[in-house]
Amino acid sequence: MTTLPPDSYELLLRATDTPDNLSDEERQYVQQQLQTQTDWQAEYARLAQLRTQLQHYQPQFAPNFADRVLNRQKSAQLTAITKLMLLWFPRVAAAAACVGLFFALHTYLHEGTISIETITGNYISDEYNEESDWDEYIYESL
Amino acid sequence: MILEDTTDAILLEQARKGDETAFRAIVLRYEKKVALTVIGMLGNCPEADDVGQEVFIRFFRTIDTFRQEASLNTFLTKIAINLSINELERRKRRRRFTLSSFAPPDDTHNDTPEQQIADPNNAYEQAEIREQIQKALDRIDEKLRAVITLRLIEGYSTQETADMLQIPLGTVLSRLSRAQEQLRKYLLP
Repeated sequence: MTTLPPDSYELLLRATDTPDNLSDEERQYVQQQLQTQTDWQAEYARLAQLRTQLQHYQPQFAPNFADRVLNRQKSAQLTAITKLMLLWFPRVAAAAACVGLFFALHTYLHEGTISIETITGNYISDEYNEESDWDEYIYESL
Repeated sequence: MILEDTTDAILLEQARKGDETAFRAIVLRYEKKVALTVIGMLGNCPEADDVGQEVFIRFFRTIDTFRQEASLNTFLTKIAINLSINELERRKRRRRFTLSSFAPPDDTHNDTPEQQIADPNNAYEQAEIREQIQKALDRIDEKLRAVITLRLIEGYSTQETADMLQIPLGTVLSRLSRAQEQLRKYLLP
């Protein structure tokens, strides 16, 4: 741990950051302390040395990082759509089941059956067939 | 490439409209900065790459609400810091349940990069130095690592570091001093 008080330590940090950003007063004070105070000198030397070492630190991700991000972005979008579908499916499914049941009941009440033909609309009731026969008979008799 | 000269504001505008090329340009532009934060805090590991990707995915999700009150660099760094801290927390939880947590700290890396800095043009030596710094960073406490990454490696001011980590300025200074001490112990003879 540094032996300097927090204010002095912060000033020293800023002095090793960008000395030009210090005010004239601060710069003079730092110079004075560095000339006369051994704890300032030691701390300054330690900070400067560490900074020099850290300058060489330039970590990088593995190559083609941008490609990996974009691929992940696309799959994340797909996941979002799937999640949305899963969220809405129970509600939509319940409503759709109700509607289907209503139509099935309606068909049954009108046609007396809910066969595939009645549901798809291909069913011709007996009553209708009878009428068709009569039409045919009248047409032929003319 | 034309996009290299395009400002962040224009790239953001295009990315908001769904332009993949603009988003890619943002990733390419800030990849190194994000790597500095994430790898600085997590170490050079597969999770770091995952977290790095997640930083940009999160950013893309919030791109519509990002109003550029902060710079894009600061915004991405904040996301990177938060996600790195989350990852460190996850690691801590995982370590509790694995035997590896009982392994003693790796003390085999006693080489010092001090002399190697004398010839910084040598790529191999530079890679060695980077590796040693990474190993030293890996060995210090994560809270200290976050402070040193932001303050000394990324070059944010003490106040900016305090704001990003949401800790008092005094805490930043004390953590920095401790981090410096620990790093020196691992880096210097």
